[in-house]
Amino acid sequence: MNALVRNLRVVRRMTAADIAQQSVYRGAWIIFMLANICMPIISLLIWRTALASGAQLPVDERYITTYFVLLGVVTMATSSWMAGFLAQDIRLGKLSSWMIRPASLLAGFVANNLSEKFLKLFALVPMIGIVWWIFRDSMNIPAGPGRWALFAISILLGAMLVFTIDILIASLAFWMDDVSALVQARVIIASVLSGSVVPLALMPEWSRGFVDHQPFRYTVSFPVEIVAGQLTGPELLAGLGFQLGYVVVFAAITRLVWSAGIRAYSAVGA
Amino acid sequence: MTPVHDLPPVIAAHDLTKTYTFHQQRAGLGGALKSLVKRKYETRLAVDRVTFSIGRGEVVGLLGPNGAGKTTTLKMLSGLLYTTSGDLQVLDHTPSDRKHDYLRRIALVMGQKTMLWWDVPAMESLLLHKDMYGLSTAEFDRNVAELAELLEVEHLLNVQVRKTSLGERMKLELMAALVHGPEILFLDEPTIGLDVVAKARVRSFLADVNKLRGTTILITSHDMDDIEALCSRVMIIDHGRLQFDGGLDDLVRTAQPRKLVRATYASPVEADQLNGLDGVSAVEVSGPTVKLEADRERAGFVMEQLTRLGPLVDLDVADADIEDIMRDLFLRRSTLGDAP
Amino acid sequence: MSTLDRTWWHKQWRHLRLWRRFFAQAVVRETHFRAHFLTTLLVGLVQLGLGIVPTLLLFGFTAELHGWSRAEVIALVGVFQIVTGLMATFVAPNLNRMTTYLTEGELDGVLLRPVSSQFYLTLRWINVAELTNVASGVAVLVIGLVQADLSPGAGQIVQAVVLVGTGLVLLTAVWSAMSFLAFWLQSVNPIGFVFLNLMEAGRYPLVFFPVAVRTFLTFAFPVAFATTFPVRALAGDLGWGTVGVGVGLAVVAMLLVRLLWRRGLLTYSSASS
Repeated sequence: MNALVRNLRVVRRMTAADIAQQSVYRGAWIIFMLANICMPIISLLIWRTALASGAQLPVDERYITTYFVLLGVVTMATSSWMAGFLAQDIRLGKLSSWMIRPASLLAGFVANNLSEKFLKLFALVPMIGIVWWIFRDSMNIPAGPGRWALFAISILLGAMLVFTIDILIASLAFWMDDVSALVQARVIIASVLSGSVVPLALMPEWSRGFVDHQPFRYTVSFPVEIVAGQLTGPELLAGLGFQLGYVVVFAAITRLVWSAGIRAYSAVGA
Repeated sequence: MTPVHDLPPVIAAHDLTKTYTFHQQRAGLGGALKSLVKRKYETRLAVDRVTFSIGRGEVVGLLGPNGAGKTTTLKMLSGLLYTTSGDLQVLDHTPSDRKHDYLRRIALVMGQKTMLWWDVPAMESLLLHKDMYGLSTAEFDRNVAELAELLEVEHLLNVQVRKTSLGERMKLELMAALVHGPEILFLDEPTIGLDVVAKARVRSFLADVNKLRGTTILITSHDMDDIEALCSRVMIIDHGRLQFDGGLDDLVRTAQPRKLVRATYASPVEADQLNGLDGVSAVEVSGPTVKLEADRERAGFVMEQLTRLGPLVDLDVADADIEDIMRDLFLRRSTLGDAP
Repeated sequence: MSTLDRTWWHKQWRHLRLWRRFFAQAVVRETHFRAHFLTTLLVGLVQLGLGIVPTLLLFGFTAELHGWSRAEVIALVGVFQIVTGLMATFVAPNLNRMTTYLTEGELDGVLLRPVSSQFYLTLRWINVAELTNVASGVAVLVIGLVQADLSPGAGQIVQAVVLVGTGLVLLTAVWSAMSFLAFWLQSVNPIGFVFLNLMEAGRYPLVFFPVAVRTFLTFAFPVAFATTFPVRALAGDLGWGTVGVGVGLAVVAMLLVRLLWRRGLLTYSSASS
């Protein structure tokens, strides 16, 4: 059997098993998601107040509202949280039990990520629906299915990008004793540069060139912009190109670092 | 030590009863929702009309199989659980009021659960107890010095608890429990997981504490050696009922345990005919050795029969293990209970 | 037989001494984990900087919002940092382990001690390193006040301190109430997460929110008492009336939480096996 097909089947099975296992904690997931939408709503209210009292923002109320309502879903859909766990497994030598299985190590990570996202979405989507309904009068809803399709593709690419960055950081545990500070640093940097805290469109003029082209924009902000903003056709294409490019580049680097790490790991026999 | 009957008892329980009420959790999301609307309640009788009293300075063993109600009883005595019905007075207090004046006169040590703080030296935990129990510095220093000497742990007091061995930790645990000088010490499986040497240390320490301070001790244990070494009196709880309450010797007599006999002859013998005898069972013959169990009152007769089989080289008669006695007792009770 | 505490005051004194011991022990612990201290300090500083970013951006587009200048909002971020720092030092390490206390049976060990179990569960653990965030918060507050050209008098400072105190008590009460749900629910681990995310609303002045939300942030989730009101007191536009309301609310909240705790214990002591 083709290795890829086999690995995909493994992913499917493991995802299903993970979902079954995790659904025991569905109450906890709901509370978690409730916490997740607090921040976007607080930001939304603040920026709407600023607009209402005459602040001259480069974007309008519809953009701000759509942006923050969708922010929660996109942040969650593209998130990855395994760096800490994976780094711990590497450090404690637990990787060995995974390495002897006839499926790619990646399969397990992907399955875990997919299953948790599935359950989180289940809890999150109704909440976003309610918020959407409350602000329905000032939401930007793109006409036609084209933009939505691009939105979905962009989320998928964003998720892959975050996932590879996550593994890249975790694989540094092959050489470093403690990557938790690094993990924390990534979370903090990403929250600003991905547009989770403030829409990148509100960043000052002097930072534009950097902000618009750095990789973190393509993890959260860009997918949201597809629906919320007025990206022109060429801007859209260029953006997707950048996103794809970053995924390929990071995947290549991660692969390189990971296999070097595995070699070092096997050599030591930890 | 025998109970001092002219003094009022430190623990007096009359018809002590505890029932648990719990609702059945249905499986699945649908089940969970249904349970929200309509709950099916069930009750379970954990302790059933138990009556006893314990005098000051007694060391009493609380025995019984798992789930018999020992821990529930201990928790009611220490005030962690409310009683469902019946009277319970410990040191003239109702334990479940958990009055501070009551709590500072008792202590509970659980073998499986540490009450020391992991990341700091034991001394820090002791100092915390000093403030918690409002001990004066003089009192505290005296108790720490006395206990540390008895337990031989002076060198461990300033070591992080996580770096001590299991046996050392249990000693420190006992020290922390006793530093405020409780009048009653409740022990739940204090020697679980310890090696033979550490177990012996803990036992002799507890005996010392009882003798020196007159501390009343109530102990549950699976290790019969603990009970034999420490307790003059045992209470047996099974299915929530108090099945036996008395001296350890009485228990042995009541249970009527059989004698274990082993006879060794100069040459192999035929002993099958012994099987038919009244009061004899479990005859086992291997070469020149015969093993059997005999009823207590028939023991003399059995010896006589054995000497007739041939020239004896060795004769060994022993009482059954207390552990076997217990097993016997529970077994007999449950077969009686199950009978229609 | 003499009693443990001769009077009610002796009892409070004993608890105070005990708390002092908690603190001393926490300091001893911290000296064993120097890396933890450093990480907490660094993360705290980065988060403080990050927290100011939206404010700075916001005031890049407008000089003043609903009567608040940039400098005043920075002072408010400072107060927010102080309050969250204090919560992270004294309250969070305890309430975050409420589920463990209840499910692992650790509560039993506490109930056997002659101390108030609620006091113990709410204040036993102290994360000393988080005090660095209080220090940085004070620095930001001073910078904000200087920039805003405010020099509060003694009375205003007293008002602000009392308000921060009531804010802390109110927030602790809300968080405790949320955590004490553990007596009836299976797991309340994510509840601290919800609490901290709601806290974020305290980074902004109350008037930045719609009226309905303002009411929520004053009475239901009273973060306004911890951040907005103290800064307004320092600016000198708050009467003693608000301080009185705050103290009153704090007392009511404490009584309610005490009641909830008692109810919970009752469930626990009759149901645990």
